Amino acid sequence: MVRLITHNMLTCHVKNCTKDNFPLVFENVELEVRPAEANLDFIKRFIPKLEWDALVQTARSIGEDSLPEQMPEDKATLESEEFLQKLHHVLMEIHVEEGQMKCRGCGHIYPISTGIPNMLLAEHEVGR
Amino acid sequence: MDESWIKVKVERYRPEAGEEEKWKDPLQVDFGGPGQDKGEAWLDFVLRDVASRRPKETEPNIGADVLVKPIAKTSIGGPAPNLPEPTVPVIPSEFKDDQEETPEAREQRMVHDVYETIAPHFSQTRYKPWPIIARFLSSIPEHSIGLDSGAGNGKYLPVVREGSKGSRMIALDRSSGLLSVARTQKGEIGDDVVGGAEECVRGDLAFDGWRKGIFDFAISIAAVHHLSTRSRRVQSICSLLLPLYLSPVAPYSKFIVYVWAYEQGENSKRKMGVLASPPEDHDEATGSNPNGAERKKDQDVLVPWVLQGPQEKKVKQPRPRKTKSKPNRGAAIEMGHAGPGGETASTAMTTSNDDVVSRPDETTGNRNENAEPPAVPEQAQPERQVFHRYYHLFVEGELREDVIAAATGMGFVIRGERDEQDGTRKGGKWLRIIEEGYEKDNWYLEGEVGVY
Repeated sequence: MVRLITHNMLTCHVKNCTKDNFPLVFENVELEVRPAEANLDFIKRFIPKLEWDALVQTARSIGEDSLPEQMPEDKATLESEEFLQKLHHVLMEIHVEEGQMKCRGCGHIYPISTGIPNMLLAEHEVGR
Repeated sequence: MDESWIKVKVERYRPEAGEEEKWKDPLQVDFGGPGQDKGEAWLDFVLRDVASRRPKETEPNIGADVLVKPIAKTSIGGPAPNLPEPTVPVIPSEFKDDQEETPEAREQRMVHDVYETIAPHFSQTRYKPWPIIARFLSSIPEHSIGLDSGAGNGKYLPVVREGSKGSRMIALDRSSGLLSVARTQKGEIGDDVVGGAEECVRGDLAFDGWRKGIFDFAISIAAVHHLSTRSRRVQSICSLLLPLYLSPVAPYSKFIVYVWAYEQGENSKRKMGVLASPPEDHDEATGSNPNGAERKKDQDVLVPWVLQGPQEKKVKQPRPRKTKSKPNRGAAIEMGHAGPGGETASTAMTTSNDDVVSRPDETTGNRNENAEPPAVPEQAQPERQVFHRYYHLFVEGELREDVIAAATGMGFVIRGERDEQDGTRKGGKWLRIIEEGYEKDNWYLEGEVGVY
């Protein structure tokens, strides 16, 4: 289950791929929404690490448009239960079970199978 | 040579429903080996070890109300009774640069392919957290997010949720077989009720695709030792440090790395590393004999994993070529790559991590670096299959060197205990080694990173 929280952390790591390597674009996805007990403190703590634009863009690409274009600026809204609940749903309850993630920069495709994204590269693609 | 042997009999466990049938006969375990006459303390260790070998389904009672009584303890000269020859030796496996096989291909063959094959059985033996790691995970600030690099079956995913309120980890592993187990790990207080709730990513230990600064902590337990060159091991530590959040103020992001030690404890069942050396060579092997300085340590080894079929478990009497820690009533006994909790106590009825070890010369008569067993089963009989996994055994101080090499290569300053900020380093990355130690055949290193 690639959830959006994990997707928001993953970049393309193909050798020399440094432009447009984030966020990866979901393609042909099968989604599953599974209710999960909300841990709003966890969400709150994660907010500063979020790439907001990537999250909103990605969520919309899979039909989830509950998040505002801009991250709320005032702390009261940002830390309101309503907003955190919304974030919890988007980050933690939407599971991408099948499909793939494509790099906009180099076009590399990372397959997702039974909820597990495969980030392995062929040897010549490894940038180390 | 003085040798002491002890045989203990586990009389009964705390009675449980269904247990009587399972443990109809007392479990009898032979422990023994040169120099193991350690008195009460050692016996206590044995008892805890026995307790930890109970089947998984009765795990909640591990360590509780186990009645064990020694039924024989003798100190005799000469070989111990009923000690069969080791069956599956650990084999030295030095990796040479001029070998045609690349490190990647080698690890694919000697590590990844094996784990994919043994994943279900392996997983049944990996369920008990090691205390040092459980302690580390409890020290993590609440509601943190962490990385478990080389997570295997993900046994620490629930542990962090129990130890640090609201925290969770993402599992990274190369084996899709193990990750499919990790996905559904459930803790005592799992926050997700549905199976398949853990976040898993398939990638190798050097995966560097995480965004920087996203993790509050990272662990890599019993994984780095599967990499076959130093540069790859250092690289994997870089990849562990890279995504850690660098804070200018406490709490800082912590990490722990745990690897198998060359310096095997004398109670270790696997007689490799220092234990693989014959007594007359012992000083050489440990490097304390100047004349033996040139002797190559067998730090790179192939460790067998034995799947035992259902036929074999029915055999009650040890066969001539059984291990000294004989599987009894199907409960395989081993002292393998285990933490103090007997983490690898093989509990699967059909599984035995049959890592009895002998010196290669004794076994093959002729040590040949190139004569490796195939990673795929070397014995294809239905009742028993042997797989070999590659390990690099760390010598004392080596883990520290690798961590420091990784950190300095990434521009970290190694921070001492009490250096104060002098202003000139403002904004610079630092790494501090909090604790390093040896625990039950493993070296571990705990550290933290931040910015000045």
